[in-house]
Amino acid sequence: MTKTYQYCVAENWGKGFIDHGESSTITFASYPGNVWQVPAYNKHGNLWIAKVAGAVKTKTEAQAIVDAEVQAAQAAWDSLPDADKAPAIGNITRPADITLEE
Amino acid sequence: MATYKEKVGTAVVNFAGTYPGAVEGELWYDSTNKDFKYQYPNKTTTGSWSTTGSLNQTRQGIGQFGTESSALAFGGETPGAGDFNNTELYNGSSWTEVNNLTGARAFLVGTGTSTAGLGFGGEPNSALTETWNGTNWTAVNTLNTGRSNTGGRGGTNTSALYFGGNSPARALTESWNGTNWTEVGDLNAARFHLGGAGASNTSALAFGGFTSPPDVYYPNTELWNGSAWTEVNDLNTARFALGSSGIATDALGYGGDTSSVSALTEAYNGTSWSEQGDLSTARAAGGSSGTNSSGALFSGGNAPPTTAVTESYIGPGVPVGAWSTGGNLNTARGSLTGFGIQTAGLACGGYTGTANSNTTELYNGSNWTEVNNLSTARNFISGLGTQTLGLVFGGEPGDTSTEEWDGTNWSGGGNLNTGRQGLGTAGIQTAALGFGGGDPGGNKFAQNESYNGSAWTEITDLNTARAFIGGVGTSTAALGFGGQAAPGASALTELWNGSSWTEINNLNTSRLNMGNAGTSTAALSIGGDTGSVVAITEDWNGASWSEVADLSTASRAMASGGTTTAAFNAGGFSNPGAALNATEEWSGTSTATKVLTD
Repeated sequence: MTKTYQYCVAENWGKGFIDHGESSTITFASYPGNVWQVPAYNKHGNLWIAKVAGAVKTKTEAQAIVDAEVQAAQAAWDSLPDADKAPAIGNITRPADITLEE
Repeated sequence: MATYKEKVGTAVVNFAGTYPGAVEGELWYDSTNKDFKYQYPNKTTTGSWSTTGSLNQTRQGIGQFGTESSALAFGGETPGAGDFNNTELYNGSSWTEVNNLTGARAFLVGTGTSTAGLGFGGEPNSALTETWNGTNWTAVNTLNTGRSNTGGRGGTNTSALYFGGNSPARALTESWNGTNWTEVGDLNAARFHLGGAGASNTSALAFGGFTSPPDVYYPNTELWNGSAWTEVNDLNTARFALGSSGIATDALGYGGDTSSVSALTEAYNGTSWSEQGDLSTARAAGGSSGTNSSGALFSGGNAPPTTAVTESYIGPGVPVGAWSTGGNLNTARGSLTGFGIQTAGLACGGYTGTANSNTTELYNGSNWTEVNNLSTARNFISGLGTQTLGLVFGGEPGDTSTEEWDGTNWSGGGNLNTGRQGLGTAGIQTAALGFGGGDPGGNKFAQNESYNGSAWTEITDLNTARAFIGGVGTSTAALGFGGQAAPGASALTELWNGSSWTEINNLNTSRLNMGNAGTSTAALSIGGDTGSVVAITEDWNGASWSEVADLSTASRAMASGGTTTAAFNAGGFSNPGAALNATEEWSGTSTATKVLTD
């Protein structure tokens, strides 16, 4: 199956991590564990990963990183008192699983 | 052969990477990637529709003339309710009833402007012609052959063309010279319910249409040169009762009936038709107007059922905005507040995941710097103002306190009358609004309070009580949108005029705890919570919301500020609930880099 996305781990250092030229050329999405998704087979995506010194991950590797972060957040949620899990105001819900796309 | 410098006047810059100083179209050599590159503005390549204020009278078979910002809709029908003589005037955002036609009828044609127009023909086989002078309709000389479901256009009330129609299906064409109708050359294909575009009685375009029985849907397009019709390139999709506007060389056809109602939009460039963005409500037999393919207005029609929905079209070439990363907050947190502009912003308060925060940070467009703390650490705090004159108030749990920021220090202000958290805000430190909000008991408030620099006063409530509502604008022109209403996330948008709230067009995605930026006529709603944390960004153009580029990190309960051309969005909570320190910066325009060897 042809990949749509590629993944890397990179820490967002702030200004210039993603610039306007890059953002208007390709679509970025971030996930827990500093996992970043950019288009696969895309020169601009490759250039950006190189710029931020991203550690390239397979989709399986990236999913494992995301799962670990989400499971830790879910465990923290599960340990909360019931009153904190269902506040009368605001949308506070158990962290949801995240499935990365191929 | 001339060199690049001789042709353009500058040498090719040699730069390692993306050359930040490049102007539009300037070529440079990227020595890192060994490519020649240039930049150009990122703009939309097809036109798009947005919803605007609905007609007061639901109907189909409407006559209409004018532009996308100033138009008149008149006549029409609702099955079972008969024909209308109602006339409504559109001002760019809403319709107002004005003086009626002299004769009620449907499926008539209009041409002209909102202050000088012409309405003619209509069902059943009417020959009636009326002129509009900006205030009243007056009956003038009639058509030679009364008929309905025609095409017809012309740029003015003194030069118009009327073609096709029924019953039966006709090829007949009549020309209006400001006084009388005269029969001129016939269409090549007799049909009815066809579209029309044109600037005068010497230049027009007829397209689409229908005959029955048997049912035949026409893609045919014919060009009028003042004396005869000539077949030119067909519509891509055959249909009838379509919206139509523009001139003979620059026209639009939209909606209509292809055996079911259609949302398709096509633009004609003088040679061929190309598909554009679809209507959001597929329908036929609406009122349509516009002077070229850059703008149009489509009102009412049959969806089915008959509708009052109105949509406004803008052609290609609109700048495309984009998010990029900015400097990170020093303290990661969500449920904080922010205000100011992209190069002079402020973020304060919030929740770090373990404790409420009293931290205040200032943004200079690159970096956040910690300054003097709030006197009270709190989250779900609300704020407004500038980096040198700010105001924060409320917070969890149902706090009433207010603090004023003078650019250096926080000091106490007058208390809210009703303690609450997650209020919407608008205005400045000495003329502020705080509206909506909630409390830990689950109550959602409609209360709206006004601050004069020292005390809060209760004024007119929101129509719908909501917590964690978005707010932008001033104390006399504000917008409240989204939020948590009972029982869930809301898409409602309300406009404040200084004395009351009016419901207007909704967000496309219901959500709460968004970031906000802009004014009551140009705003952004950023990210938020739909039940899950989202990256969606919507742009308000004064009439409707449309989706623009997503945040790179989905977040809710952030600090934000700025305008629709330059905004910031900092902190917040991510999908697993982690407090964020990231900042993203919005630019209403963007550029794309093109590699010559691509």
